[in-house]
Amino acid sequence: MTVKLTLEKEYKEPKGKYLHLKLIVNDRCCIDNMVITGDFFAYPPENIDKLSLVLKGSTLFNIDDLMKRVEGIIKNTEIIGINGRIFKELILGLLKEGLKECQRVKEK
Amino acid sequence: MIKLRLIIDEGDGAYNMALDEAMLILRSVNAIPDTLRLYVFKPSTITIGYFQSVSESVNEDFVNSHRIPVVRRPTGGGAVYHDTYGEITYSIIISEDKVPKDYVESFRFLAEGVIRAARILGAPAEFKPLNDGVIAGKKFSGQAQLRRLGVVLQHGTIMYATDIDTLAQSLLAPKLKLTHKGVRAIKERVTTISNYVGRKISKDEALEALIRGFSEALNAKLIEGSLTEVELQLASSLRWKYLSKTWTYLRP
Repeated sequence: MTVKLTLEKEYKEPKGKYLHLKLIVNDRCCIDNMVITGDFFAYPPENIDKLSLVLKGSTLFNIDDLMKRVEGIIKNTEIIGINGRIFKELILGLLKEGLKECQRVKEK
Repeated sequence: MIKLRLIIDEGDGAYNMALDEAMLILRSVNAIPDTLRLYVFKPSTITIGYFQSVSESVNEDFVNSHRIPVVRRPTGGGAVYHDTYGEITYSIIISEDKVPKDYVESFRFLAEGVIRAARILGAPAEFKPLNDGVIAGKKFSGQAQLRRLGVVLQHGTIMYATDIDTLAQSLLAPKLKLTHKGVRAIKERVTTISNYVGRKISKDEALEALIRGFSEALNAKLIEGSLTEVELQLASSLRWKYLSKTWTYLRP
């Protein structure tokens, strides 16, 4: 049976907007989903959906490659209400945490 | 002085969102003029921002038992309770070159009509970045925006007599967000113009104040018009998107 891990991160920008990241990883360290929600604004908005799509099905073992793809999308997105650098760091942090957690589960 | 077509309207949530999207598309090909639409949601409806999760922002048990529809907006921002008998929504569909390039400044610029309307009605309203209108520190108006194809669509609300109890029971806010705002519950951070001035403001009064407020704030000549056949047809096609569970639960 496939074990799924769910990792979450919440952030509220001072005088800004709220962001909730939910990363779902399977026991092969593949991303089942990255759900990005909140009351922020992004232009173009579809880039946030693209971010989730790019991550979906990817292995966390190629985290550097994943981050390059995430950075490429964020670079072309104007995020309003959340600092773009923090937005990127939160995603990276969660991916790293996901890798660590799934490796821990695999070792068990 | 700019010219704005003025549309006064009402309809359900799917119609309202579909029409705003249709107008944005048609404005981008110059098929319609810059437009200010003032409308009421009938029946009372919850709209959620494009990036919001339904389960995180709406009390589904409450809205289902009270038959309050939930519709996802094409614009970002937070969840809103649109009370048929206490709230008017505006949408401005305007060429991007007529508003400040900076997003926060454009929120402020386009929201000024609502701020002036509240002042006309006797409440000392002010704009609070990023996108709120406040009276004595409490929110009575929120704005949301989408830019596409050289056109800005800004939505905004004016709560002149919203039923705050229903609003507070319908919407959910993350604890982290409330803590940052220094409140324990949604109810503590919202108000209506009627609450502030101590008398019940009518819909007609609010509408009149909005028309004057936008006209003054944007230095605009508002010309009351009607929707074209093509707007209605495109809105009718897009309406299905806003009625679909796939769209509403895009982020469950």
